[in-house]
Amino acid sequence: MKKSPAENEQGHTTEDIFRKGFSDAESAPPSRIWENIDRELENQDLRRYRRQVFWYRSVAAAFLLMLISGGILLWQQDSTLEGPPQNGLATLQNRPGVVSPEEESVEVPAPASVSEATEAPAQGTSISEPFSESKPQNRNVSDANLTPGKTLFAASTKERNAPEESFARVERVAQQEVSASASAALLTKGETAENVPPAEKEVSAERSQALRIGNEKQFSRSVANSLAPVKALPLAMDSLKGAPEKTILLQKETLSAALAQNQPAPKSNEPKEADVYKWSVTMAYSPQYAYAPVKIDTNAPPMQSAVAGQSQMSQQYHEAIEEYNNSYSPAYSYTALVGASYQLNDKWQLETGILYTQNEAMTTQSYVVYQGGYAQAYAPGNLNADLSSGKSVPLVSSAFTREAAAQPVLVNRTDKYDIRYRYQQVGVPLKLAYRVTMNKIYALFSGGVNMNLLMQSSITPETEQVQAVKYGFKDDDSPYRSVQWATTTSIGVGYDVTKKMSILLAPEFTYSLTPLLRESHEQENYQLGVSIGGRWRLAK
Amino acid sequence: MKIFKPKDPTEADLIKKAVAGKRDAQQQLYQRYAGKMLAVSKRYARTDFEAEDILQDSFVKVFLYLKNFKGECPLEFWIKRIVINTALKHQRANRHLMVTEQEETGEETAEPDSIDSQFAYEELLELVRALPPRYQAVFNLYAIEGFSHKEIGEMLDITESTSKSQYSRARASLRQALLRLKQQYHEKVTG
Repeated sequence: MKKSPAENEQGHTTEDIFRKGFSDAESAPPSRIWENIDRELENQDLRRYRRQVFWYRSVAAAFLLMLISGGILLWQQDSTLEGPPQNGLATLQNRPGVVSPEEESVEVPAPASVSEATEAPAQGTSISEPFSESKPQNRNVSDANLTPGKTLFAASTKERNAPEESFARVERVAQQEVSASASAALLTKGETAENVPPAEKEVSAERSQALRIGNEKQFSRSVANSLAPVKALPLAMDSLKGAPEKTILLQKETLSAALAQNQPAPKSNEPKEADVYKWSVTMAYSPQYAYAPVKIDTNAPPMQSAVAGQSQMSQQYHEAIEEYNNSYSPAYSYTALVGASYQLNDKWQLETGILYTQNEAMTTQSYVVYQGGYAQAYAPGNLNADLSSGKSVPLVSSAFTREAAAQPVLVNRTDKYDIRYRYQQVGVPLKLAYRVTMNKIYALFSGGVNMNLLMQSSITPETEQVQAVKYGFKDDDSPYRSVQWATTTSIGVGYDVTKKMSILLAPEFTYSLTPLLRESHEQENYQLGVSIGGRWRLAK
Repeated sequence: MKIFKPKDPTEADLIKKAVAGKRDAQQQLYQRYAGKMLAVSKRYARTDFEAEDILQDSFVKVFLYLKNFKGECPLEFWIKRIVINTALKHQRANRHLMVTEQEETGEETAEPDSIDSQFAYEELLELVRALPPRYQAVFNLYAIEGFSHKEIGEMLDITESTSKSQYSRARASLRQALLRLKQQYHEKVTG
């Protein structure tokens, strides 16, 4: 630091006195200041970690959403391309005079009144004639309770039953006769003539006249519209050669036969679809690097209370924790999957199954930690201690056990020893996969979520001094969470060995969405593995 | 017989680890400088509790911003500057200044003779703490830390002349206090 201007002044000894007095001054800070700083830094780390986790999760969620949305979109596109043509008019041009059950649902509203408008009122008169005769022969006509919506449909059906020239005529005048169709719609909705524009009134009057000619008071407009197809019915009936008129049953059979004759020719790719195996069984084994450290805070409960007041013990406990945290290293881990996949189409498939995961890790320790009664007996000043009994507990157990805060802790240095941590999980994955096929080789991109149940976890020290600990599923004493969620993503390359069997090699990344510990120690857990598996196609 | 001792980590190593978030390295750095920095913060604070608050806030900032430390000056000076800034911030936030700038334009008091007595740290600290807050800050910044009046003016958001004026008054007040203290010593010794 630069020299004070005051130092350049002569005779100002006041500054000299204070500068000299303060020059090497030091004050011992109370220990609580560091504890507060440590806590504040911990909070800062936690906030930063939460921001990171939020970001990671957002990216994972966005990725999943994109994958699912893309999947749905592509699936729909594939379905549209593969499905039967949906344009009723175009289809009917190839099959004049036939109304298939599928076509009945197709609505073509415009031509309904168009044909009526283009045809002379005299034709309207003739419409009324076949009503009573053909009524029993027509399934549509027999339904007298048609709704306004069905009225339009019936009118359109009439046009679909007409010959080809009728369709051509309809197309020509369709654009010109929009107002006429609108008035027909108004009529079917039962609106009064006063509300109808004059141009439309004319057309409406023609319709009304045609209906009046029928001379039946109870003959409603909707029924009239529903019967409109009848004018084309004779043409349709012409194709039903030899259709007996006496029994409905025989007529239906004949109609079915006619429908069968007029079914569209099967598409060329349909036989291929029949060959697609929808269900397949998957088996995969994945050795992996599982990074799931369970870091212990240096302010863990025994550190704060039970060891408090014993500075040497506290220091050793602190060193033990540091040693534990720094010596963590993942050991050989793997997952095994037996699953089923359902092929949604030739590109997308849904996969699930049963996933077994075994993650292992190691730490190296040179301290043993005694807790509870044994620690009390061992404590300095207790002359009646029986030191032959009792074992140390693993550090993780003492740090994260709920009772730990109330129990005294004793820490002793010893020879270095290893501790093995094993986590066995059974889970259910749900993944959506996209397949790109290139001859016999294919690429498979998949993403999804895993729900894992921690069935068993064990801590096995390689020394006699420390006792092994094992926790079962939903064990109250266990510091770990029983249910854990993770996202998983993989990109793999497969090879179709035979028609029914293929092998797959897929690097995969799994990121835990829930921390391993029950307490709010949010720590980053992930697994990197390479899945080696086979797939057997089972059923079509 | 050779005795091997574990080598103490260098300050650069500690800084590197502390930046990486290693709590033990941060604690070692804290232990190295906390005593000196508490003494600094006590000069700016009115009470020991306030000084401890300043120290705590300062070290949290130190560890949060340690990645910005380029090593262009000793780490101690860098930390000290953070402590001083934190102390001034505390002063601005917590204290209503009793002395306005208009009051500070008065004439400087005449300088008495130089004082050659030895005073204890606690006594000197008490004298500095007894100054009005703004005087206390100006005196510390100018006489002890070595900032110029221009720099002090920028730090405290006052003019350079105000800084000079306040410093002059603070110095005069302290000189009087030292003389009184010296007189008390003399009376004790002579009975």
